[in-house]
Amino acid sequence: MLVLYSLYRPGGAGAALSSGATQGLLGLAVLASVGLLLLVFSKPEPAAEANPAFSPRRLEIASLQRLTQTIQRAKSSQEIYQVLLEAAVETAAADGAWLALAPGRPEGETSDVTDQYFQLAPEQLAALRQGLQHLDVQGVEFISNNLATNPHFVDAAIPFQSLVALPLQGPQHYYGTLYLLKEQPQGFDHGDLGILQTLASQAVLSIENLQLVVTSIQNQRTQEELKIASQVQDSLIPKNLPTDNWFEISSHSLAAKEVGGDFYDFLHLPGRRLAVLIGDVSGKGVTAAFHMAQMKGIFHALMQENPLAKNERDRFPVPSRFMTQANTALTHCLERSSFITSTLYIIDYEQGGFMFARAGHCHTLYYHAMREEVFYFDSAGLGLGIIRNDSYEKHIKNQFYDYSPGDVMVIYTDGIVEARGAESAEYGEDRLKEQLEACYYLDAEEIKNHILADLNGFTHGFPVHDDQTLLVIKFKSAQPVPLA
Amino acid sequence: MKVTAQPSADTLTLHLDGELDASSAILLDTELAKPDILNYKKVLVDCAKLSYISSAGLGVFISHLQRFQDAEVKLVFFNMQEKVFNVFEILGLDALMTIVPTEAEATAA
Repeated sequence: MLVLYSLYRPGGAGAALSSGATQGLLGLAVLASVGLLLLVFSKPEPAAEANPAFSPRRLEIASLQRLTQTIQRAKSSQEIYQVLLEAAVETAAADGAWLALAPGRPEGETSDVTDQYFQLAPEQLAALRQGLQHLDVQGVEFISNNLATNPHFVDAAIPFQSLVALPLQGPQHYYGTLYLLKEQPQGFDHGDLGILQTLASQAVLSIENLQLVVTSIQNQRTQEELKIASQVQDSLIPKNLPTDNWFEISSHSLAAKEVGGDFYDFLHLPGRRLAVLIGDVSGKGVTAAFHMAQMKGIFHALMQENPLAKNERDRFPVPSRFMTQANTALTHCLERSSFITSTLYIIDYEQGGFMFARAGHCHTLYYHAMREEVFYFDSAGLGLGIIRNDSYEKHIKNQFYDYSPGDVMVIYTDGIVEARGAESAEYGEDRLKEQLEACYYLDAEEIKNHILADLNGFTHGFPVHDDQTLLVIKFKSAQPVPLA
Repeated sequence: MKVTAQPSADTLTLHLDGELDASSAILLDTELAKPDILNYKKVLVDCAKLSYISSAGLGVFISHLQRFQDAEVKLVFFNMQEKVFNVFEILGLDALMTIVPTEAEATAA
């Protein structure tokens, strides 16, 4: 082996040979060095001790191999820290070791990670900790080969003379420091440090890879949850709009993200009446969708016939009563900073009128056919979940209105009027009103398309920040039911 | 969004600057959630430079409303831009909260 090694040395035996012979010999040397590696791997334990020149390298390779293999199977950062400590102790033939984790843990790491120790009694650890505190070597590599003369450790009751400190530093995060100890002085050299650095960087790389995997699994799970929530939300939005020969309804809804907080619903009531509910839950995502589902449940539960009612018109709650009851129901399940805006309309198309209560929701836009005028209903009313006691009743009221054939009602959420265009300008109530003034004579579906086309022109190229919901109801003269 | 707190004898004035949305709402919430804020008699909110408020921003004020009332701390808004006032008004908050045009009126309120 020593002879083969000498072939590499410039000025050695090979230097005097011709170039062709050199190539041949170099080839032989390469082959020989492969053999040497094989030899190193297959060498039994006692031989390594017999030839100390090769033992650190053998251990380095074996430790790195073991570290890599084990780490690839590791399912937690904790496991990686354990393997790192064991491999480092073995490689450096340390008598004691401590892997001190940094206090701030990186995102995605499980909370069960703990410091790792090797043959360190609690009092030794305490003494070491105290000495290190004065030394202030956090985050830097450090070797002390004569702790007995070091002022910070001279009084420390520890049987160690040599110390190496190795920070586990990733590109963005400092994970902790590995301390290795030896009983004899001059225990560590820079060669050891090099090997340990390789081990440490391998471990840091693995920890970061593991975190990437954990984060991507979490993201995938979140995406999955959003998909489910989005499906639930979609199933809550009515697919079939009510039809009758007294009115036309057209609807549009667009969610800004996967899941939003806008909702609307219809319910046919006896006596040729139709309840229309629109609303917007503050916030977005799964929580908003959950509250939206609650609101739909509340709507269907409260809009039940009361068999004890004294007269026909009291059989169902009037809109203001509905809002008061909904506010009470929501008090128990809505977070303190969340609220819901909503308007409930009960349209009586036998009487040709409607009644509504606005709970903090956007003003209703209306076209009055006989006066040929477009206006917003101006009424006060507080959003749901803002006051959480009986006094809510005082903040909501009913409004009645008689409609005529040709009248148009435009119901929407703030995602429409607050949609942003160039220079962050808002679409606004005025522009919405102008659009209805220009297209009131069209069918409900055409009016909706006209408004949306103008809105999309306004916001073209800018991101949608909020859900957009638009309902257009056009009242018609009663048409005789066509004979089948 | 920037929140500047300006304490005086028994009044704390908060100057809001920028857009109050979901991300900046946390900043304001931290300010309003401080326990010693209830030692003041009045908390004045200067909205002169508040250019936009989202539902999350309104949620911050709503969530502290009861706490302020219970501690008898007056919450008064002033210098509010019309666009922002509209948002408060549509939600019905103008009936619950004191919103006045000027700082002088806020101090007198």
